Amino acid sequence: MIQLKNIDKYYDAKFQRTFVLKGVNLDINQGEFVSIMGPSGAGKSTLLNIVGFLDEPNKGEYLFLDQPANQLKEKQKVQYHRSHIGFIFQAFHLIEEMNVYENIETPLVYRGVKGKERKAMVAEMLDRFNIVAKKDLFPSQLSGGQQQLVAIARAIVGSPKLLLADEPTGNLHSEQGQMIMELLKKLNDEGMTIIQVTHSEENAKYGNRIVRLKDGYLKEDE
Amino acid sequence: MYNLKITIRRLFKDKAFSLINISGLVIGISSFLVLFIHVSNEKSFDKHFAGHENIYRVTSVPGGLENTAWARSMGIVYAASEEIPEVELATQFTHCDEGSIKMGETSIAQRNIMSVDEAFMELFEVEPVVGNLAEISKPNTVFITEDFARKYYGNLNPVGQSITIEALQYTRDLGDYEIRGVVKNTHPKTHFRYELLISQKGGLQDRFASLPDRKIQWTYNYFKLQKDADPKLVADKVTAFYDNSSLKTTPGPQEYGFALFPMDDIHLKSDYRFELRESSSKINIGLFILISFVILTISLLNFTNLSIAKLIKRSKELGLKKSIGATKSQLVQQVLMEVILVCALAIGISLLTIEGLKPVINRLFEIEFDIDFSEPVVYLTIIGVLFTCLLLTAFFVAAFLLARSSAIDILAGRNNFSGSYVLKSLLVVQITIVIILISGTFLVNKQISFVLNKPLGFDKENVVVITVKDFSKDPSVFARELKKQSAIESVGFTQQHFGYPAQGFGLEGLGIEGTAEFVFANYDYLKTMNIKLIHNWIKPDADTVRGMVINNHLYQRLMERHGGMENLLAYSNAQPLQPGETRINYIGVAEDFNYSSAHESIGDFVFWLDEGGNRARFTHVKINNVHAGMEVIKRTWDEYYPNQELDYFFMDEKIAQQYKAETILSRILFAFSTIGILISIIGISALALFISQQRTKEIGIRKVNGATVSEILGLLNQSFVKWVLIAFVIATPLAFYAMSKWLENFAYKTNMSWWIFALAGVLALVFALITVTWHSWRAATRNPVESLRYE
Repeated sequence: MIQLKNIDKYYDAKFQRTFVLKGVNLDINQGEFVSIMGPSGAGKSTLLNIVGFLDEPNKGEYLFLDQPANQLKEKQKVQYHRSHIGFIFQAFHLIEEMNVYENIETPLVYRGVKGKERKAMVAEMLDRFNIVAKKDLFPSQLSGGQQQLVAIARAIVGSPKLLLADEPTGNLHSEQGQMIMELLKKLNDEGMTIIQVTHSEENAKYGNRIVRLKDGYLKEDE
Repeated sequence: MYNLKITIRRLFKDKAFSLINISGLVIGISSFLVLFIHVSNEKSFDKHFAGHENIYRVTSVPGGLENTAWARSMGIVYAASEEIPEVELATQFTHCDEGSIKMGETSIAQRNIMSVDEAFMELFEVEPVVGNLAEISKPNTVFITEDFARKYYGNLNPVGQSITIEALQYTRDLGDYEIRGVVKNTHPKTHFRYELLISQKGGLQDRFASLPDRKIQWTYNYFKLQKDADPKLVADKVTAFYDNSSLKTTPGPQEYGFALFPMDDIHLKSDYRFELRESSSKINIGLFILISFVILTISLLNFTNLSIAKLIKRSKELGLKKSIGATKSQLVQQVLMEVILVCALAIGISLLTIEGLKPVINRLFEIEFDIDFSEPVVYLTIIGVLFTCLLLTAFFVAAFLLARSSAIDILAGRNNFSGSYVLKSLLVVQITIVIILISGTFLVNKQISFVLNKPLGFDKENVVVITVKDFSKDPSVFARELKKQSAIESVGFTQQHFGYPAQGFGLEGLGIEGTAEFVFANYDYLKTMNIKLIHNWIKPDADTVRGMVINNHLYQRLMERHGGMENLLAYSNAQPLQPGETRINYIGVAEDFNYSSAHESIGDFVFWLDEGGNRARFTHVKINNVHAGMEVIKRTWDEYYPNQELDYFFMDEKIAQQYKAETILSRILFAFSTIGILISIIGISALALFISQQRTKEIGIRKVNGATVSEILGLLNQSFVKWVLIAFVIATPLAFYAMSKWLENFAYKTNMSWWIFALAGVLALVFALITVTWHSWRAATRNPVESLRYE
């Protein structure tokens, strides 16, 4: 599903080039649950962003569903964001002015799903995550775990093939974190490909594959 | 719909910000509309007449008096019109600002009486309600306006009733006039007003008949030319007609310049004496337009600035939406939707505000402002405001927020205000405009107080001017009675008071070119006005002072030509004497004084001193105590002229009226620079708030590491000081240029002091610093623990 070949990502300062990623090769197949691990500054998030079309590599080739990503037009990237890829972030990034229902609904609006259908899809999500009672609350009225639940609901409401999670439990206490990880595991079992960035060995174990990054190099691929 | 709900929710969530943003725009739009609609009202004067662009007023100006030209002209103009084929229609008419009429047994003062002909009715589209307008050609007929009819006749039919015209400006006892009809009121946007239209036949017949042979300028003459006729050519033909007439050689000035002044320009540009109705001078209209656009610009800049700052703060949300599949155009749409909503709200509130403030505006600026919502300017403004706001914001969003930064930059909050040159330059432009406005206000005020306090060469304080209309009694008896009282210092007579159009006195007979202004007065008048004589050749034993006093300006010119008084006398005595003329007897030279206003420089001036005649028309009374003096005047008047209304004014007020345009201008400038400053304060304040919010974490870290509150204040204020300085450097030359241009309108101008600019700059700085410090203070005094947790 995802093939990264010799990916470089660097920033040019005045006299030197700082590499974030250097010669990264990675293949990920449909249905995998990959955990990217590594110390701070290793390039984990950058790798995730490149995979999710939020960032572009400076060098190398990235094939998404056997399509070279650097030839993708902005429009196609938007299409992928709409139908193939879901994001969850450490800081949840819910929209403050929208309530739970509307936050989950937003991607469907952009995708142009009709009102009735939208309602059904959001209702299904609310039901599935047991947050029907909270649908009219605003993010500031929810606990961190609940917010991340909403964020996941928003990410998967469009049933994407790939879910990218950037330290999804980083801002949560362990109990809530565990709950989120269980949920991801379950999604993976249902067939969703998941790539997560994490610091915690324990969380990494929820996945079926661990990739370690250090100083921009892919160090280990079990 | 989806965006709308969220947008409204957002507006309510950040109430303070929404309020600031909307109110800034409301103030801007309202001010713009008020000024602009006023201007377009002024500009639409007389444009309702069919063929208005072909109607001209003909003036006849004696050589040398071009600066003090009259709107009235000689009767020969009308006579000439018959010989000029380009003239389609010509009318001459008189206008009496205030006359006296009698209905039944009661005498009343009546304003705006005009004696007109049939051509007038046609040219100026007088609309009859009752009666046949052709009857104006019959002797002693009068048409009254609807207002007049309602006021004096109520529901009765006025036709057939009669009105006695007791006095017009120069004539008395015209006899009874029969009301032959009622006409619609004068269109409000016309450069004249009539309440009574009287016939030129009958009582006034002899006067009108003699006009072509006299050099008096009593009537107003208007030509309607054929479509493609050249007004200059027509003027030349009138001049030729005059030059070939016998009128030219009669006593009085020989050279007259005839000109055709477009009627379309009268209301805005005329500064003629005896103008039919107060005109708005051109420079004010231009300034109004300028100010209105400046205010609108400030408020639009402000709005854009605030919207962008807000967007930067919200950029995370936009980035997020991008990551879940929003296209750029969807995001731009969403932002624009919000801008439209806020703009629409602001426009709606503005229109309501204007409607509510109308009476206040009209009182404060002494204008007749009215808003007609169907006028194109209203919806053009609405479109313009929406368009500008949308365009500026869209440009920013597209160019800076979405294109340059990848979604991840936005999500990480790597955009901040301090990096945005757009915001900085918008802010600098705003402050620049404010500095220009402030310094402009200072200068206009300085100039106005300069002209108002400029020594005029005579005393204007405590002089009461009484209009005497009844010459059946000897006014000098009235004067003697007054002088007996202790509250009265002196009483003088003149036929024309200061500011009132003087007559022309041809100087050819004295061997120099031009025409002097010429006023009939008595000797006591000079004493009353405290006009000093440089040379006094009055014989001390003379019973009555009789002869000519010239001003120093004319005296110098004459001495330059003749070398001495003896030569001048010899020269003028050698001139042939026309029948009815007497030799000039020079009795003194007066110091120069300003006859009209500081708009004009001092020219040649002549007093013809004597007693009697119509000299008492304006009786000037110098009093030493306003209260007691007025009391005495009223009592004496009632004793001497029983049953006559006392009609008077104070000289200093009359002179101040000459600067009415400037006074109103300064008031408007003051009001609108205040508005400009207010809007800018709103803008600076909001930006300061954003900056301090954005740097909350930094402030916390600095404080934890030992920075004092004052150090942090200094840090935050620093950048604002820099922007004000840049704005000051840009504003000063612009303001200097604009103001020198404006000062060119005055013959006597105040100097442009450096402190005007310095003070404007300092004020702008103070305003900025106070606003910024307030926000910085709140950020700086926050507990660092709290601000660090803020992330």
